[in-house]
Amino acid sequence: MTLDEWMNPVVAEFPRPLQQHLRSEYRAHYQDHLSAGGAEDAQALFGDPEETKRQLKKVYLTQEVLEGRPNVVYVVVFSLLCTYFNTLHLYSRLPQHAHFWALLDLVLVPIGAAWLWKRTWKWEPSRQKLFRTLGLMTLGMTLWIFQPVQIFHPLPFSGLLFLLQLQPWWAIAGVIGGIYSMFAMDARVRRTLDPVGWHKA
Amino acid sequence: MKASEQLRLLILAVLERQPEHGYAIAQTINARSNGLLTAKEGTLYPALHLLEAEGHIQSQETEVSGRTRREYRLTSRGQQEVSRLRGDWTRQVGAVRAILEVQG
Repeated sequence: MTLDEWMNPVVAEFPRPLQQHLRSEYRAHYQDHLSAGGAEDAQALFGDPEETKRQLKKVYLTQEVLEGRPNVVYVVVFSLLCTYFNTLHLYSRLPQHAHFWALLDLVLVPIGAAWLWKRTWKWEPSRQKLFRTLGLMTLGMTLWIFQPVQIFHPLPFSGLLFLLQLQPWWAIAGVIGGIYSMFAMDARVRRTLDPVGWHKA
Repeated sequence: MKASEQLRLLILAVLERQPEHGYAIAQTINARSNGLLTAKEGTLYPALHLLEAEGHIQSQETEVSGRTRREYRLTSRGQQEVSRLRGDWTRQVGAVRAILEVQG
């Protein structure tokens, strides 16, 4: 197998600047190998191209993921708005002690969304879309922390319903996980778009 | 220790001595282990890039024998990581040896 035959399927799914970066590293390695008297078979040197591609996908995002489905962010916005207005609608029916938490929730979401938009305003479109989508999903999680079902039913449940009791903890874990994945995904986007200078951005 | 962690340890241990480019890292692992251990050369670069993303190593382009190569060097964070992985490895080897010696 020639070097190009090995490399083409390995790098094909990644954006062009990353493809060039990967090709130059593998080509340099291959040249050193030939200079040292190694055999020309690229597969014998580098191993299974599918395995290498799988490992690279742990570090970088594919072009398909970067482009994403254009309607995902609208679905997330729609579900967030539904949950938000549901909380707003139920606000007057909440017991007095729950008003503070529900109000906190209702204020936190628009402030969080405004921060997300402002922070990502001048970003590269694919980076902007992924960060906003994950950010909105995380904000959606905050709405579940103080959902009315938890406030209306503070008494112990029986059977599998005990999971509902844990709802705030699931939601808090979800928010922490969401914030982590926002920034982890953003780092992968930056690495993918600029494999050499990403850490300076 | 999983194979991927072993590869991380081997890479970091090589870079602990001096900065190297990818091919030299693979050759050093191969040579020092008398060919018993081989860095899977295709998956060497994803491992290097992941270590760089985690801040354990950093890279820059250099000229080697008139050719441009990306040279990797250990960071202070990488130094801590290699110590941690080396400790894990030593404990595992010690535990296996203790069992084998009792059985032997």
